[in-house]
Amino acid sequence: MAIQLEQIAKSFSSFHLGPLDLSLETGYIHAIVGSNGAGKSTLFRIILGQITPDQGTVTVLGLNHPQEEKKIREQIGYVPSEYLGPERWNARKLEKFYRLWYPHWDQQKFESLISQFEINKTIAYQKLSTGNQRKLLFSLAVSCQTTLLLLDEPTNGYDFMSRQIFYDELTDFMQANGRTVVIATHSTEEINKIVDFITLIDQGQIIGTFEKDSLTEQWKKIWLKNPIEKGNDFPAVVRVDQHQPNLLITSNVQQTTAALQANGDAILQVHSMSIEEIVMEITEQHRLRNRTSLDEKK
Amino acid sequence: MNRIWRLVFFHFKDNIPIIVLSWTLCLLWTYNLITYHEVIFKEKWFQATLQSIVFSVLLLYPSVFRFQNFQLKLRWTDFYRKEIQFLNSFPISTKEIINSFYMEYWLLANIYATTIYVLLYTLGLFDLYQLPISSSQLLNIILIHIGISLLMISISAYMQYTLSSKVFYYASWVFLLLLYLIFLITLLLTNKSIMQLFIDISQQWKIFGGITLFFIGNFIFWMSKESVIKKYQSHF
Repeated sequence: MAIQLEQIAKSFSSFHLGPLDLSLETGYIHAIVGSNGAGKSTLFRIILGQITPDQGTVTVLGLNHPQEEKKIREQIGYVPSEYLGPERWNARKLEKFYRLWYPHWDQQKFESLISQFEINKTIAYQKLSTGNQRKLLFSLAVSCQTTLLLLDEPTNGYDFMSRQIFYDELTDFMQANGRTVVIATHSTEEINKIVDFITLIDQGQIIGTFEKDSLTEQWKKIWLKNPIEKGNDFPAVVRVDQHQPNLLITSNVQQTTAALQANGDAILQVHSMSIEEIVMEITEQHRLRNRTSLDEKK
Repeated sequence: MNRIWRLVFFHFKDNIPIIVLSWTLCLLWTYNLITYHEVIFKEKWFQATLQSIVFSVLLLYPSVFRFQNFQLKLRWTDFYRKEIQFLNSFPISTKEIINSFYMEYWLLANIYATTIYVLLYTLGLFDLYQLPISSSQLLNIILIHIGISLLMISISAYMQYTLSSKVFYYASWVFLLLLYLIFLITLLLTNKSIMQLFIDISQQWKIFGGITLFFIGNFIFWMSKESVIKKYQSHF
């Protein structure tokens, strides 16, 4: 496992994370997806050891926080959501600083990325455009040649060309054995193009980890000829559309269509769902379950 | 190279402009040394007091600055915490980060105190303003200054790294005002500038005055550093 979190919880004055369990397998690109303030960045900072959780254990690449924090960080290339270093430092100064701490720093890789992204190494960080700031941070993180990359919304402000360089670079990064990438993202393009697994997080809780391909293969919209009769329950049906009672959302298209056919319901069309729609559905269902269980407790 | 030294020296040269600026201001202000003459003090009390306080601040306050602190912003910022958080994303432990900050302060206080007095001495300014001192007294004064600077840093750095940034912003102004007050009271009670007091201590207590203040300053400084490390390890 690249990352294993067990019963992690952390309370802040206005936000509570967990308790949550999370296991991310080595050798894949994982996306952490959730709305703003869901806890993605906090999760990253716990993995890095910047925040000590109130409870639970954090294991990264087989090493434990806080006893082995330096060893763990030597293995992590990190792009933060917000740069907190000296704003007067330019790419050259940042490169020198990174080189001091990462034993496998790849100067050639850094030079190549900086030139591909067309970043001027002498301009202070604060004077770079938002896109160039993110590109510089990504170039620095990748050049550390670590086994784990934590990228917190890495492509904010990227242009089309730079996005392609980013995807190519991540594909190249994953060529070596035992490497893992975790991206916190809102971009469905990123998820569609490079991600293997999606972990959904909402209001400080992990909803679940899903294989992207299986999500897109299994989750479908099914149009029926006639609306479903009340009382008829079909397997894997997530919901029936309120406004169009002959439209079903399923999380397992084979099971649902087989059951519908067995019941004699005529299927007009089966439509694919976008990742965005699937994520919305899963999150909504999770919130609904939470509300119901809260109501039951009351 | 030791990891803490590596961290200290990486941007240590960023401090040079601040040190040079402080030296220059301090040297320019040394003419105040003569304004404390009793007659002038009685005739132009307000002017002499103000000049004395400014001189004291110029003499002592620069040695508690690191380059990163030198941000002339009239609003609170949380750049102290940000700096720690930034460094915490590298393979550097929190203990090493705090140690490096304190090490940088310590080096700056030592370099600043040594160079400013050696400059004043070699330029003959002590003699010019009728405060002749011997070379052994010079060493004594340097030790006294380092000791007092470290005491000030201990308080200021402890506040900086343990209080929330907003509280620290206001606390640092209170701290500065307190220093002004101390300088003012000292001046009112003794009619002597900080420099003259240092010379008095070095003459009366001989080398023990310098060594004692130097060790007290270092001890409190070490305690402040250890408390900050302990606080970070248990709370953040």
